[in-house]
Amino acid sequence: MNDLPSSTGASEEDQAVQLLRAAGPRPLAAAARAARVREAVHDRWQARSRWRVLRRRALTATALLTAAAALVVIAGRMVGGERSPAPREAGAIVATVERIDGQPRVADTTVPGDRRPMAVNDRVRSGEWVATDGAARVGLRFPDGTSARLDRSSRARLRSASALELTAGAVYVDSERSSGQFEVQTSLATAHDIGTQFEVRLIDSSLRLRVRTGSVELRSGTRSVSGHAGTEVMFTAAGAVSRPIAPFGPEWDWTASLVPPLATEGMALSTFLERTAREHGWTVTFQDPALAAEVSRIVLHGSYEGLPPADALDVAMTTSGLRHRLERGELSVLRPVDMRKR
Amino acid sequence: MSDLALARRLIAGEEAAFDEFFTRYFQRLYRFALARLDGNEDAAEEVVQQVMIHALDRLPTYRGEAALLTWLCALCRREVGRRRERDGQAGEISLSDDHLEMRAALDLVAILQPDGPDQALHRRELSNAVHATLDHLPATYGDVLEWKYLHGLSVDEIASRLGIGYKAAESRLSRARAAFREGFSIAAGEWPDGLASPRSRTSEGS
Repeated sequence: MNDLPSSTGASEEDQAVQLLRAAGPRPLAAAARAARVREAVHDRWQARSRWRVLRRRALTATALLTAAAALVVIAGRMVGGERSPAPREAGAIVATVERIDGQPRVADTTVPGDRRPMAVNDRVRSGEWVATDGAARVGLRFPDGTSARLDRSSRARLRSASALELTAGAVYVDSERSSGQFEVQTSLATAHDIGTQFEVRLIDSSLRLRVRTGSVELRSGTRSVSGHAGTEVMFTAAGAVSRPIAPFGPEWDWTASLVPPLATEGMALSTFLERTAREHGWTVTFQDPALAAEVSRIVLHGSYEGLPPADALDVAMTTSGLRHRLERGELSVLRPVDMRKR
Repeated sequence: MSDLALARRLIAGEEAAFDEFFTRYFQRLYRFALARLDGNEDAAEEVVQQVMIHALDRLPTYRGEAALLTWLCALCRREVGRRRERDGQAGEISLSDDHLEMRAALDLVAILQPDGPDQALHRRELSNAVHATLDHLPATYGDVLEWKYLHGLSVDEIASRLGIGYKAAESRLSRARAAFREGFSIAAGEWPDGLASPRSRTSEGS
């Protein structure tokens, strides 16, 4: 940087120029940064613009109030219809394939007939479609740490590094490690998460939202419905109905088949239990406070890679010399029976 | 194109409007965020992306009462605050182009010894203040000043870049200098050591 202006009696022009030179040129974001931001913002703006157009059409068409609900559904379907075939260049890499089960596929609509099988560590670009058949599932990891898991018979398009568009089936999102800005867009509503775990499933002309932790906001036009932890929301063009649900149980089990690999070498048993419990919606309790402290000092060694989560839990507890019991979503950590008898 | 007209075209989904919006505001917002995030470029990128997405979502609520840049900066300031709070840095925000902060920066610059240990830090604050002033000037004024005084372009070359005549370029340069002095003095209240406040003078620089 040049020296600061210090001369007295300089002309005003000189003063302004000296100040400018002292400050130096304005910093610029690198071209790559600008391109990344532009793409993400553009994708979102484009989707929003289309949605606005469709909403205007729907509002006009709903002059007959009795037909309002039906028209919104049609408009929603039109959104899906307009988006799906829209060719665009595949954009920046926005996610990585973390887990697969069966043979999920990815397609770039700009390449005729493109329908590639996916493999772990494949990169997925914005604009690409990911599809699973009746025997496949796929887990994706986004740059901010969000995990998005696509269930069987699902189809989604990655809109950006923080949004995907679901057109069939279900997606489970875990944004624990991210800023909680992830979005699941559907023709019925957009789900905005607030640092949470949730599932969005399309069932006929309804959207079912199940919130495991945190909270999620569903937005559609001027309508907004919030779903909080332990709540299921059935959202249709006509209205929304909420009911309480358990954050654990068979309906969540499919998400556990795509749990991200856990590097257990050197991990504290307490961390392992916390992660495992989070993936299953369990709460962890300890037989006594002293045991909780002991568990945080037990360090795991070796890899549990490839073991189903329940088996990995068994191995971890057995090798640590402890017992556990699982009842109604509560994982109780217990001392060995013989230790207490001594 | 006025800010309100740009907003309406963006709401209507015009691609050209998006290009203009991004070109006009991305780098300015990036610098705005960068100055408040301790120069963390990754954080600034994330914040600006969020702010632009949020702003475009909320565009129908923009009534044109404030300049679009002012509105965007307000959203950006809020987003930076949230981020710093999340990272446990609440209260440490440095808003070097906010009036009081800018005044403080300039006061510090005025009392600095040439080789003082904090010189680099305060020069950075001064730079932030000058850059923020340039970013808030009317369209092309900031660019014109940089081209002329930092990149050394001649008036002819500036005229050619802007697609206008020599006289018009000269006039724009003059207006840009006046706007810069006015903008900086309004924000800062006074000029650094050795420079009289432009308010105390009666003549306009040319």
